[in-house]
Amino acid sequence: MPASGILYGHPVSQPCRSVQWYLDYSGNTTVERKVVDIMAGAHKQPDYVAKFPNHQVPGFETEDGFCFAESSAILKHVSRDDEKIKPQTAKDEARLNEYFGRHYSQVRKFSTEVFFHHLLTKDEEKKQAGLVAIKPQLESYNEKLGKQKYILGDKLTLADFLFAPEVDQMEAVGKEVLAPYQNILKYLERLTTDVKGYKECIGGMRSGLEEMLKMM
Amino acid sequence: MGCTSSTDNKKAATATATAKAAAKAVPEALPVAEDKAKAVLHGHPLSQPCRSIQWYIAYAGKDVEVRDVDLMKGAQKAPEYVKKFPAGQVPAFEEGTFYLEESLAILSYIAGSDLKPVSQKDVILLDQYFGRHYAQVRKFSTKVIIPALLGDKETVPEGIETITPLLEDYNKLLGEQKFIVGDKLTLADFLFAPEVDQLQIMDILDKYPNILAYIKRLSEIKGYSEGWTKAKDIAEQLKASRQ
Repeated sequence: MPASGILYGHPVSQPCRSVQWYLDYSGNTTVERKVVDIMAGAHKQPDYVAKFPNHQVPGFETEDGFCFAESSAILKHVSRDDEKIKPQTAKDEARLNEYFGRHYSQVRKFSTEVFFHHLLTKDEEKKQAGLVAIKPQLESYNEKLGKQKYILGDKLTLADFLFAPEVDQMEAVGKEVLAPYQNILKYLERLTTDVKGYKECIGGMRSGLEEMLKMM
Repeated sequence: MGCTSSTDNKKAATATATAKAAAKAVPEALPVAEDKAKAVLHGHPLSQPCRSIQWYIAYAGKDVEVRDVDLMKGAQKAPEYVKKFPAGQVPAFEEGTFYLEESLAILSYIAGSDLKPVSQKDVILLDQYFGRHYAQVRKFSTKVIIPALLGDKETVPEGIETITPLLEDYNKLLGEQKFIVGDKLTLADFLFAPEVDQLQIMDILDKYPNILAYIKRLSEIKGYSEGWTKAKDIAEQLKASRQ
């Protein structure tokens, strides 16, 4: 049975994009999507905080009103009946969990230590430090994606849904960030042509960002 | 019929294998079952994520060898280590030629279906905890304990400020239920406990009686106290050496 409920998100938030992309990919029409205007501080308003005390996006509300956060938890929940995307063996599941750990401790720096400073704090020094911090990840994934189609191998997994929005958003920081990593760029092209919903995922980010910049 | 029977082939193969084994075997070596690859956890008694897994291994009585990595000497950056474990960190796990990093992955793999929650809500809460652990709870170590014992002590007061809202949240939660996900032990507790218990070394938990009561509950659970005692001793020595 396809997942139903409400996804609270924003088109520029990378973890929100991960979930929205999965919903489009899987052709889900039963999860309602609500935009939370984070620029206007909507995630800190009492009605949102009542559901999501840590005022995070993405947030998910199930049909019976149970609210939870964390992109990996939401992704796993909405894909729970998707036999194709789910890991098939204990070792596959271990690799996916290994990616989740790496995602939170390393890959999220693309957003928290680079994009955040580029867009919001305008702190050039911190942004440059962030670019240095993410270099090992860019090199490592560039090497990996030269040998295999997707993050965990030749099969699309939830790891790709988490990874791509973090890395593709670097285009907003500058073309020079990803230019040295041709395998990553080819990977993103592959996603655009081969994976349903990705084109809309990156398109939505570009138009959402354009709107945000107009208001800033 | 002219072809050797499969039994003859098997006998010949066994004879060859035995001869080969005898040629390189140490005296009295026992045969190792080919299909049971040895499981090894590379860890360190002070490392919080290593303690999570070591506690689970002791709790469930799993057949996993625990090997200490001499972090102070940089053993985790040695070429042979990094070849298997590119992140150059602990914990790291191997089972035959299967190499795995990241505490969440290692803990879940070793545990298999043990302690898995049943209700959809608890499954979600456990997954939510896994995300929150990395994004927030790890700050207990990265912002407070590690600077206090090994890094820049000046940053500790700010670190304590950072973790205070989290401690308040968990203190409230643990006043309402026995464990992190509900009233049953789950892998969330194995991840959470080594992050929070070490804060006792700095007298930070005095304000959070529910967390202290939770730790007391954990000390009744198999395998917990041994790991905590060992970590506590090392941590107190480090703290004393920096006074």
